[in-house]
Amino acid sequence: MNRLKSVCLVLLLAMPLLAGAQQAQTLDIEVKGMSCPFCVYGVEKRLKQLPEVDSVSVDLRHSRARLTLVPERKPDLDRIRKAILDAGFTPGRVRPVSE
Amino acid sequence: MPDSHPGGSGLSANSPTPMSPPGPLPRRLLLTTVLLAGAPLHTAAAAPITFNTALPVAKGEFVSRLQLVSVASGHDPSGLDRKLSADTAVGVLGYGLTRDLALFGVVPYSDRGLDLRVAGERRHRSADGLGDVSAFGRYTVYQRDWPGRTLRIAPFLGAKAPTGSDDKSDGQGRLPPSVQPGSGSWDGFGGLVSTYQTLDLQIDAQIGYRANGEENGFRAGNELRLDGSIQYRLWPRSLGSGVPGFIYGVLETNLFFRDKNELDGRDDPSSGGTTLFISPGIQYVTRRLILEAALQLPVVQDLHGDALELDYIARGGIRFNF
Repeated sequence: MNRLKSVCLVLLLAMPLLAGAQQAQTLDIEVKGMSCPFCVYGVEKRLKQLPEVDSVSVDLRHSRARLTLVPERKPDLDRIRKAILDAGFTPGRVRPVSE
Repeated sequence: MPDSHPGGSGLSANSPTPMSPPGPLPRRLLLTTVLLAGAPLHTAAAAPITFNTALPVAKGEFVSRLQLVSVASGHDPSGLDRKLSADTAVGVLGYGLTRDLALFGVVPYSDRGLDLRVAGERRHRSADGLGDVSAFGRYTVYQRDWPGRTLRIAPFLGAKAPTGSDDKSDGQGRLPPSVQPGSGSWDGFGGLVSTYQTLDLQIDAQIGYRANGEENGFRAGNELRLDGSIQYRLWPRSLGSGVPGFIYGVLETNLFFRDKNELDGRDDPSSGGTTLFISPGIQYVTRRLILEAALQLPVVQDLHGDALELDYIARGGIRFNF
């Protein structure tokens, strides 16, 4: 009985970790040179076309695009940077976002 | 000098042109140039209203601009009491071929009228139709980006084709060139545009030159133009998160130096000169579209001979990403 309780407890504690494994990964990437609303459209459109990107939200003030990735897809950082270059801007630092 | 514009951002390489009195010399009133003047060809981003910008068009993406331009003539030193009016819709389509090279096409449609007194009698003549189509390319040769700001320099080069009708007539005979939708000549234009943009403001400067071709023994004067623009964010006063719409207050200047027109190799003494415009305007900018309006007011008109002065040029337009 004690063993069963222990297994249940371990599973309970592990649930957040298991759920986290299914959560979409989120990345912030700096977009240098993006300084008006009309510029944002091209950046968003190019990034949304990437297969690993589920959604994009841009914050102009912080020169940042937040990418929510398709679950279980790994980001191709070179491709993400190229998408920003093709939009006419310069990619900067990339960092994962912990929700 | 695509007049933009669109562009701008230069849509046609034409500029506000002093108008000389009607007479035996054909093409003395080159309203085409007036109408297309400053139609911004470049449409990539928030941009000047009367000329171009160096901001990018994303690779593989289209931008477009439609601008309505209304021109009203002013003082007529010739004594013919000429009243010239022109309303033109200028459509511009831009495409990002690479991240640095953008191509633009410009198509105007205009409705023009000329009233004047001849032998004590008032006459009205008018025409409408598609005008001369322009195409040009712009290549970014310098780009420096920082968080929230950018500096770019881009030369541009293009040509205007004689696609508009230049031989329309009415019951009084062939219409004067100022009323014709097209000029009949091939023209070339080029220049350099520079843009510095931050989250608060944008500054653009352009130098452009237009070389006009000859048709039926007539050549419109070549033109040098210098343009400047500042766009300052009025709203929101402080930036929050996300991508809010911006309202920019706009102030632009356009300085035109135009040579005299030539007919059969001789200068037309009532053509060409120097014009300086001050142009206040306003823009509402979102991700997908820009709504804009400006009024070009001629503060200096140092024109040759009896060239017809301008009263104002009003511009209103929309740009959108798709």
